[in-house]
Amino acid sequence: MTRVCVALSLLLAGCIDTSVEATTIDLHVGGSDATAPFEGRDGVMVTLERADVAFGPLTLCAGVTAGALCDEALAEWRDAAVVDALDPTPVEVGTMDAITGTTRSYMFDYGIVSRLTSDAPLVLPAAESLGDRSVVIEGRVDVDGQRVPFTIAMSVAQGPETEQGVPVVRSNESDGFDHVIAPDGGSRLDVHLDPRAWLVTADYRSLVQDDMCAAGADLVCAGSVEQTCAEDGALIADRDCAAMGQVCLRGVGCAERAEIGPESQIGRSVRNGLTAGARPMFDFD
Amino acid sequence: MRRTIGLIAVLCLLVGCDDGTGTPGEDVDVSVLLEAEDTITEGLAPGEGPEAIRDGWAVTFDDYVVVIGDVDAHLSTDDSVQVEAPERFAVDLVDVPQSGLELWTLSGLREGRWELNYAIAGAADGAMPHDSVTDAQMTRMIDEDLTYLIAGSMTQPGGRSCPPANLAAPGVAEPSGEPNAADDPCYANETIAFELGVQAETAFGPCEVDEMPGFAVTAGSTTTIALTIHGDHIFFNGFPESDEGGTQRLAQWLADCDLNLDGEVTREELEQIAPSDLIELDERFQLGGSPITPLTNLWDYVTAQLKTQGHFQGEGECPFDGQAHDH
Repeated sequence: MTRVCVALSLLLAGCIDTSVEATTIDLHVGGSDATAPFEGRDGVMVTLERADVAFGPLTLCAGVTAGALCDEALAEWRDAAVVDALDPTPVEVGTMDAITGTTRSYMFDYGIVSRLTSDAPLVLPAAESLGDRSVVIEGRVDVDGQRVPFTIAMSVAQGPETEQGVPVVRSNESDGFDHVIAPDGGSRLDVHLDPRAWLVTADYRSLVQDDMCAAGADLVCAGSVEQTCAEDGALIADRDCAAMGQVCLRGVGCAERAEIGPESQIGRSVRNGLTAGARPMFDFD
Repeated sequence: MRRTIGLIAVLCLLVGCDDGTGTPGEDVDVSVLLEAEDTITEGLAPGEGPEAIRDGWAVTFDDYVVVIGDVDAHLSTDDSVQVEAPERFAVDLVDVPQSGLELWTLSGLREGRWELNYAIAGAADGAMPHDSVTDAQMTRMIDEDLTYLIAGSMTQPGGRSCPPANLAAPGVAEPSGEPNAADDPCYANETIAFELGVQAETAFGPCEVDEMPGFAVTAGSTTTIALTIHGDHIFFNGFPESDEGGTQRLAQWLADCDLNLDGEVTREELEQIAPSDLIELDERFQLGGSPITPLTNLWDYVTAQLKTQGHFQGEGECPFDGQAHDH
């Protein structure tokens, strides 16, 4: 039984403070106006074309610390929805079951929920629709003379080696989250996500290269030129990726776009940005 | 009237009222100890056990100075009933005896359950040095308004550092063995020192043990409680809030922060490195509970971990905040 259901049950049984009431919160989630080019790490220019994220479930807590120390949940939304993080218009995604009171912390997942009863997390339909991913980001970056299209597809979830059963994002008192939940369904919560926050430490230069053949390297990029190298470092062949409308990617060679996974520096940047980057904006009415 | 009083008494019984008044005239003095977890006094060993460092490194601390105090307790049933021991002390936890160090007294507590809070604060606002702290350490802590001054080293036979290739400045050092999974060259580095002067002001509390808040005072009894500072959170794979049992301790990431391979990790090096730059900070790490956000470099990461080290009665939990203490 969820924490809010327990609280509601106790309320109905007359066992807790009768100044609290059962209520609801209309939940809206949106993104940010982040389609304009922006400066990434080391001055590269990044343009985002797609940033779909599975947001939820979301829990609001009474104490200043969420997570395992969230003894009393004041509001819960147990679903997830795909959010276009490039569209600042908040979209109604559901209704939170709640009780009145002051909420001082929150915790949420990105469509994939860690369970205490199973090592395998629960992938909610929102994440399923993203190919069992929490986030899909597409864009392009201008780095060292090349315009590199990229796709980043990531899952973000607790694993058996981390805090099983606890949401991946938990606020602390420094986040300054302090809101009163009104009675009679009178509250609305708008959450705004900014995908630029997920990419702050991304090192896009890791995608490209400008070197000559060297011993031990099979394939080396010299800017947009793909070089195939012999064991002794001699150049065997080269081709201009740009002439084919492609880019030369480090370790890959000529390619249409960079497919970035979780094992890469950029993938780690996105994971850390989603969990420990700048927090979403929460607007409570 | 009697029926009303009886009804009130029954209601109080049902809702567990406890006005904590106790017996007038039998207030109790509570001794407050400072304890150091044995990870500080004895270090951390490598191994597979739940409190061992899993990736082969041993860690020892030469100094672990902390500024701690601002102890306050209030009656669980009445916030206005409050007792304080506001003194702040700078103490080298390496020298704290196993039995703890008695530093504060909370005087005149009535019977009942009391909630406890304390703080780790900057040294510049009236901290008193304990005998375990040298003049030089105290001067530095005051000048830089530090909360922690930690010096130690990590060792591993055959240990290596694999700094991110785009940030490394290896000088004349030659790579040793295979690169790491990110193809960063690795260099022999069996002993790596660190000295961390950190500003990590944190308020802790209200503290609890096994979900019971604070401590109980019984008239006529002797009560001693302990503030316990842990020493291994820098090596945690995340920011667990309650049970640390599922937490792993890993240290290779810190070894990989020796960018110039001089056998020492410095604040300047940690500030240059983003968590995502280190292949070692992979999916074994979950940073979503950090008290500092955004986490953009490893100095922030170390500071964030130090903010979580305040405990109570050994493993009792004390929620931490990220707000600086007002001076």
